[in-house]
Amino acid sequence: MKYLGFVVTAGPMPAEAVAEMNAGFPAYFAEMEARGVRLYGRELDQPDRGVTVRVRNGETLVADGPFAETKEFIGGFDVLDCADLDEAIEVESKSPVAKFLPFEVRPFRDGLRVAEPQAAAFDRQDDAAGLPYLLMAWASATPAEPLNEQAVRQESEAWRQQLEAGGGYILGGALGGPETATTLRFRDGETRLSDGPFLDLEEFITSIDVVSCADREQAVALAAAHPLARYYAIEARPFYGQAIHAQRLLEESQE
Amino acid sequence: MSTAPVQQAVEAAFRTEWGRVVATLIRRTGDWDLAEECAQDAFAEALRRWPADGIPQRPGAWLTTVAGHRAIDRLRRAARGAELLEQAGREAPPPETDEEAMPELFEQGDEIEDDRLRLIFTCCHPALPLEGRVALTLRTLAGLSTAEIARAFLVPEATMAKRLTRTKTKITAAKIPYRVPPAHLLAERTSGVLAVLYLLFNEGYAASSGTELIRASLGDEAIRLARALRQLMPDEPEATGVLALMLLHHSRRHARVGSDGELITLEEQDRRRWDQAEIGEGLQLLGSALRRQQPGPYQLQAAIAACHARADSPSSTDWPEIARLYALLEHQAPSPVVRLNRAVAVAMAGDFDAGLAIIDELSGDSRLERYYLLEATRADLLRRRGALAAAAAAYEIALPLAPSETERSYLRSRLDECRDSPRSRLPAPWPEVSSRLAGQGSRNRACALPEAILNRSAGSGTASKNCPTAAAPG
Repeated sequence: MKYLGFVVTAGPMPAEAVAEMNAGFPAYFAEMEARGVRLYGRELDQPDRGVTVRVRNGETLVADGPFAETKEFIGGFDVLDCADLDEAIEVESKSPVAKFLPFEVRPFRDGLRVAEPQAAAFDRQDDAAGLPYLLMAWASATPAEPLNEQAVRQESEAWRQQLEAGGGYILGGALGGPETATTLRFRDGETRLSDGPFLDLEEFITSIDVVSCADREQAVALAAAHPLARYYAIEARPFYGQAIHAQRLLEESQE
Repeated sequence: MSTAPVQQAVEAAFRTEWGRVVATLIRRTGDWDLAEECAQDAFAEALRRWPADGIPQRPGAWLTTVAGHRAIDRLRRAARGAELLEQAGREAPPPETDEEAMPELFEQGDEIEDDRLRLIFTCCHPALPLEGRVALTLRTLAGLSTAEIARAFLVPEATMAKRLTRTKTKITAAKIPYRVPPAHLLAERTSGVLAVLYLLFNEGYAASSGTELIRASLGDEAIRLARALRQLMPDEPEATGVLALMLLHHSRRHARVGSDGELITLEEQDRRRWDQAEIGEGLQLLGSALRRQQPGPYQLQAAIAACHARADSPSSTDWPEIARLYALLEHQAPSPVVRLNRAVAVAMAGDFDAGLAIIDELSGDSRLERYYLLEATRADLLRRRGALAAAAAAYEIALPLAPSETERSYLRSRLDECRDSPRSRLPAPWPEVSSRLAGQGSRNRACALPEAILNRSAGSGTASKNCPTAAAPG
């Protein structure tokens, strides 16, 4: 089964922690990739670099920043392919990050769509083809208009297919609901599990899609075209990487 | 054959076989709802057929076979339904079960034992919500109906039904494996199972009027499940330990509630009303567990309960031994509440200064901030020692922190005693903190009683969720 492991962070970490994590990554990735249980993963940029998009009455509403202003936020993810939840928990709990930050593990509801070679390039942080953005659809119990789940599900698949055909899709899919989530926290030398999502909000992320964009405008346009943008909100956030890093330097030099 | 003996046989089979039938069907079909429904059908069928056909020699095998047939029927029907739907050109989920695997439903043998163990480990998986673990264990293993579980936990039946569905949904949707955990997870997951069973037992002790009978039966169910677990895990001394602990506490059930339903403290209980058969069994089980020389938190708590059980009177209690056991327990499952209990035992063993010194240390522990039993315990030890003014001052701090009126009125009467009583009227040395130990109570009460907390939190970190005082330090 395919799982998504979100890592939850509260911002920059102490240098020693970063050094310890970095030292642990090569062996961790080598083991998990050899076992075929960890497929892809990346770190996200800061939430204030993102944008939240809604479509209401045919109009695109854009707000700077994340969907939810929370102290802790999603800092990145791993896509896993595991025999069962126990294995997914094992893989995430062995991550060098897990000692410092909690994870939330959720199954992909209807499987995972992956476009290759885009996904492989995304995983190696090769962003030559475009900036990868994560589109998170935040669902709530009260959609903006009545929603036919079956129809929206088909629409979403069609949207993904179309993007993939145009080369702009990387990976993604619908997630199991919050009732399928498990949170992992490292405490007293061991991983503790609890039921439910890490962020205790009324809204929850119902699907994720990684798409490739030329720039922020295109990310907004893709988010607005997401079938769920009419009912809920789509938070679009870039992944951290060399391209972002370069852009950041450029911005700073201009300031 | 007349129906009465058949009825009895079916009821007996229900108690012993329900969990096995459900457990095997889940393994074979992977479908929890289907397994429950087919098990129900099988028992209904037994009521219909056993009067004419006679009670089978192996009721469990009969029931599993019948339930298996039912499962095949239902799955075939579902598969046909899906086919018809597909023919009609509409979307339908593919049949999930490989029919080739179906004949295995009739297999009998040792595997059935393993299935119950699979079932209990899956029901008690730490990724499930705690209340869901408890409810699902009662539903699938013990065979309680949703309505019965709802009554026991004082929630509407619809709420409980939702809770059960949600828990089963998580098992399927997040793919929690149906298995006995592998070696590297076994110890941790076993303590999770023990925590759920012990939580269940403690729930059974919340004897308030009206719910008393239902709740008492939860205690019985917990003991029954613990017996089953012990059979399934004969080499796990903590499984034996938890059963011993339950029996030793259960043995006091007739003595711990007064004629008006009020709780009677251990000190004041009529020990002649303790169930000697249960004490005997508990002591024997504890002995056999301790011989394995791996004393875990449940064995240690049972050993503490055994010290009380062995004492003919409060004054003959072996407090030095209890203090030693609490020290071991604190070493294994450190918690300020265990330490508070140790302070009581140390004081009762004769060293009041040492006991009070531990309490002084604990006063700086932010986890016990606003925990009324800290001050109530200090007050009690001071009172027993004759330092009445200091005791009264401590009671005054404890009073506004006490969570319920029962507890407040108890503290008030002690406070009045300290203010008014001449020394000669002092009670025998016996602290109420320790005397009111045994796994009592509703959640609130459990939070108020040290050993109840200790019991809940000792086995696993997850079980202590119920008790913020103990579980959410700082």
